[in-house]
Amino acid sequence: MRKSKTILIIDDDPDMRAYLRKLLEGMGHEVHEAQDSHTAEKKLAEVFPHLILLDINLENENGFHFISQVRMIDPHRRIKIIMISSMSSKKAIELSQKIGTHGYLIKPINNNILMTTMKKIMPELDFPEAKNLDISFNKLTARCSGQVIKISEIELVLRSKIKFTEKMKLLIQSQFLKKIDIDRAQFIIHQMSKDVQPGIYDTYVSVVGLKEKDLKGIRSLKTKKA
Amino acid sequence: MDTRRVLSIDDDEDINNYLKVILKKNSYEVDTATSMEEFFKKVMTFKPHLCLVDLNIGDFNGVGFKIIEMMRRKIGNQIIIIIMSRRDSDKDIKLALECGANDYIQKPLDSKILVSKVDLYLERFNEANTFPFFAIPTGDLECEFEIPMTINSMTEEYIKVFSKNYIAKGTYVNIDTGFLAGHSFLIREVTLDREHGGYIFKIDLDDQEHANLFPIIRRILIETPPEA
Repeated sequence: MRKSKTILIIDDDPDMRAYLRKLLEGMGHEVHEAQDSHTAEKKLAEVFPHLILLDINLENENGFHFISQVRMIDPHRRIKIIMISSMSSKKAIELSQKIGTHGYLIKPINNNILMTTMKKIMPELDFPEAKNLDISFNKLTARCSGQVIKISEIELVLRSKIKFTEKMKLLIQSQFLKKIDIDRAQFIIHQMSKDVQPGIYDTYVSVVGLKEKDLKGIRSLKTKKA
Repeated sequence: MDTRRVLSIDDDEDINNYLKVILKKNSYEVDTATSMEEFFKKVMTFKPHLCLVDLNIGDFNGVGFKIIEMMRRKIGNQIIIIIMSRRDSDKDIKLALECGANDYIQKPLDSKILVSKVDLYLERFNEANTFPFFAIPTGDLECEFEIPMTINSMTEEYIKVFSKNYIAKGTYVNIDTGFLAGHSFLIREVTLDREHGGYIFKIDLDDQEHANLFPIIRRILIETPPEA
């Protein structure tokens, strides 16, 4: 797993933020800062951090609102939160545990304390492998390069690193097909690709929807028959 | 070899007879119809593998479009439909294919084109009917094409994608759609996915090259529910 984590520091004290940033960047992490809970909410939805170091008073409304915002974008509780506070009171610690934070740092913080805390929490910061992605994310179109090496009145041969196993419509962009004005035709793979050499395959593709004029264009190719 | 049945519909008896002669010569079983009613009756009784449909039947322009739509709606996609027409506007060809036709042949019919198309769709390979290939000039070979993929799983280090088609290890693919759009990836590992009849491709995420993707990737990792 990546050693570098993305961390959001929320503290109204610029000196404290600078100090923590220096230490965390020294450990190889990517650090973002916010001076209040309002800025923090914006940052949260921008960077989606692994870890939040949070120094805000949970007993006021803003603190609670911020935590509820984190839970809203993180319903499965994957972002870890460590509270930073000078209150060493039992009540504050209990409160932070109650709302589901993952650790508590009491000021003053030195390099050693932070290092130990980070070491302890590191294994928990990796997000689990996502397996059932929402359909708005899981569909992709991959664009691959190849060569149209030969053509007849009814089909063409595509040479590429892809071995097609299914009959499917193919979108082909080629200067040559454009030149002979048949790039508006449909291209449909009608049989499995054939091996040419390891990793190189020839695919026979039907050229569908050609008119007499297009066929003449293909026949007039003054190339030797392949 | 199995007999393959071809049914044609054209209001011109001469064309129907012509098709009969040519296709029978190539050992296809052929029946013909001159009206929509007769055609649909024969679709049920003759059970063709492939239909040749004239776009204009009788006085009705474009009846062929209706025939294709009805066939697709009522019978499904198994029967191959090839449109025959004197019409050669891009719009008509496009519409016929959109309605569900598999191909289009322009009239007057060229018997070699006709037979080789029928052979191709009915998976019968006859040397005598194949067309010679023309080589494409060296400078004009390059092309790009698109293949659909689905993300199977993802971490901050790699993405595993599924495709029914095999892509050789070491191939670069450019992603055009979705949150990975505009990025290119190297296929690092390929494994067979027997259960789904395809392959799983592992692509690595690079700290520098894909740096601006990490916030959205983390968002997805955070939002994706655990496996049920």
